[in-house]
Amino acid sequence: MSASLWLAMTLGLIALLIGLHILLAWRLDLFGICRDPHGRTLITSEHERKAKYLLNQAYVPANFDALIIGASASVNWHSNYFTGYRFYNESIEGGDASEERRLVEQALPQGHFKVALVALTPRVTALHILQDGFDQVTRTEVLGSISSLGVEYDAVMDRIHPHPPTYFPDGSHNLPVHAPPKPNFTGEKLDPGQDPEAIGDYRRVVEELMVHGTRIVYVAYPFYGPAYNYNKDVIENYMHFAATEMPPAPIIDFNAPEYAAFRNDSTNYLDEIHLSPTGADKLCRMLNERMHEALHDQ
Amino acid sequence: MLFASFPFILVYLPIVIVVCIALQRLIGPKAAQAWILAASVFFYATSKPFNLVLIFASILANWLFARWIERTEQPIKKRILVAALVANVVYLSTFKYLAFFASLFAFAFPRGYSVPALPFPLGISFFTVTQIMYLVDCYEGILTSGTLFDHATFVTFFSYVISGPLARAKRMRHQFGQFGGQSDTRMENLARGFFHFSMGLFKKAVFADSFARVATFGYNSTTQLSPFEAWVFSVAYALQLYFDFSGYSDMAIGSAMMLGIEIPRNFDAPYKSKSIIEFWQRWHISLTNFITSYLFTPIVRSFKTKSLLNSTVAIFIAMSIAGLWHGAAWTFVVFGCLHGAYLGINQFWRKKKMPMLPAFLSWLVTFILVVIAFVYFGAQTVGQGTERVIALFNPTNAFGYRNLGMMSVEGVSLHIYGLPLVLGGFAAFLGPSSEQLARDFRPSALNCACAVILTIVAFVFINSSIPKPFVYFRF
Repeated sequence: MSASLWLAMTLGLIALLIGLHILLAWRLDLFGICRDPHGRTLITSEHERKAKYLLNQAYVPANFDALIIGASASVNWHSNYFTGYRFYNESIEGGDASEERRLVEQALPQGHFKVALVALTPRVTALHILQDGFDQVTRTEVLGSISSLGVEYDAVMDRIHPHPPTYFPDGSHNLPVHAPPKPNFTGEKLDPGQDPEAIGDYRRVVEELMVHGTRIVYVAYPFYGPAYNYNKDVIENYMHFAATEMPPAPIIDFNAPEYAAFRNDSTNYLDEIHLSPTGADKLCRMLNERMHEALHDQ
Repeated sequence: MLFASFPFILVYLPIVIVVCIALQRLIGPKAAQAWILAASVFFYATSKPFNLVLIFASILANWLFARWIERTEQPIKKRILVAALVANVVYLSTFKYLAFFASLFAFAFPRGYSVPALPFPLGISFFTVTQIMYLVDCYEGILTSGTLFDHATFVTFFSYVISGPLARAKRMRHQFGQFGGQSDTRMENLARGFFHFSMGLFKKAVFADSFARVATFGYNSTTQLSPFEAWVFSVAYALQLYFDFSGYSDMAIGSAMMLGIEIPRNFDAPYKSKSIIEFWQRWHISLTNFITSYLFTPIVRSFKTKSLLNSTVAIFIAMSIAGLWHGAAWTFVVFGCLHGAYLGINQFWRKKKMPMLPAFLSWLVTFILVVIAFVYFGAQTVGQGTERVIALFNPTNAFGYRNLGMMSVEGVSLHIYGLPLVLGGFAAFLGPSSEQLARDFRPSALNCACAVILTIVAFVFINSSIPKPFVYFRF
């Protein structure tokens, strides 16, 4: 083979493969960026951070009018239990306030969100780490990147071997189910330390939503009974701290005594904070009622 | 502009090559050289336009010194050389070492006052060293000062201006008539250059960044590392450094080759070395050549008698200076001193004809010593480096793996980085050097498939918002 033929073949093949992938990416448009996302149902996958970042640029503002903002404890809060609003669940596994702010800021310029449920829990404001290259995501990633290829691979595999969905178009996803915690399970002791930068980010995201006319309702994650007792001082201090640091809005506190029965039922939990499917269903129903009451009273 | 970036690969490099070839064919070599000079100036200016003033001041001053040296007789000639060398060292030190040296004499300054660290122009260590070699070569009559046009082209050539390899004017200048290649070898150079570039791109974007993830995670870990983990993370850092810098060098050599220019090779599978002397013959080869010719030899000559002890002292001094050349911090000095000591012992061992270790043991000892020195290279302070070295030999919890287990939770997804990590390990310890592969290159279907795969996978990684800047950009 001559050098010129080799060069032509090599460059031609690279151009062809890249071109084909760009066409495929445009056709699949897994993040709703290339074409009109209205009415489409797009899901995330294990590459949740980058997928949600890109979905928030067009898909979320086009299809949803309410948000759930939080960490992994609310990822399995499915929107079908909420009435009156179309909720998108922005929660991410291992997520923190700074990551949530970055997500919501993608959606705000085009979005009109009527309500946002904002989770209150010590862990969400304990750190401000943008994981997984989350601070450098670009739209060109849609054309071919590790995360977009991962989502494409998952989508293709799902078509070849269909299985019950784990990730849903409302941003929520199921958590791996296992045996409920033992009656005396407390989990790790909560770190009382709070990160000023993370708190600042959480405050600003709420303020930005309020400026856009969004009504805020805070939700304190319910801790499993023994874990709550073990960390009572930290949680109570945190709630007091959050009430003073965050912009004022109604708070639904699932750690209040009236929810003790829910919190002491281990079948509602996977660990000290993550809810089982049954627990998530029950909580979302309760939350829907309390949210409407809170909004009505506002 | 980074080599491993789309603006460079898809826009800058193709335009530079196509226009250069067109100018070479239609107008002539001077036009092609002028184009390369203009393109190199643009490339350099993209980092910070003001740096152009600093690099051109250095180019002009050194060219004038070289002309002066050329037109003068001894003993004035030697004094001019010394003045020129001092001027270069002062120039480099002003930007790179002033704050560092001032901190050594902090007691002499008013309380609370510290000399600010100046932002230094990219590649200052490299272009200063190349010009020191140019001045010495002019002094020794190996080289003429040449025209300012040639000297500016030599210093600013985009392939090596920022991070080497360290080129010598006498090896470069006679090639300047070939910018754009000659008609009989042009396509072959383009194909071979592209192949070499694709290997470098893959090493940087895929291997180096995968190892960087592991090393960064390990070194940022807040909990105590077990010795097993400390070795894993330290080896990962050593591999990150190797793939980062050798990948950059491959891209530099490949891009120059596409323009018909051969620049010095820099790496030759260094982690296969069985002695520290061999390691430095394979690692950053252009720097080793500089250290040998322009530091070690003059220091040895300065001793009145030749002895093994004097030679060992000269190695130690030369390597300490080379360590400091990497950066204004004690960690780099320790890195240089360690290698100076290693080399001294290695030389002593050889000269005294002490028993040779079995091959595998030689390799293992060499690699362990290299990793220990790199621990200091990557540390923020000598104290931190020492802590990390102690962690390598801490007898408690020898095989603990809690931090390794946390890696995937913290974003080092092994289903993404696992394969690059394994392949990178094989490539570094068992594979041939990319220099060797490029030398043996033949335009075949297999090489075509390799280049396509390497390029596309590297593109995916570059487009995945994970690339890290070149480690050697700091120098």
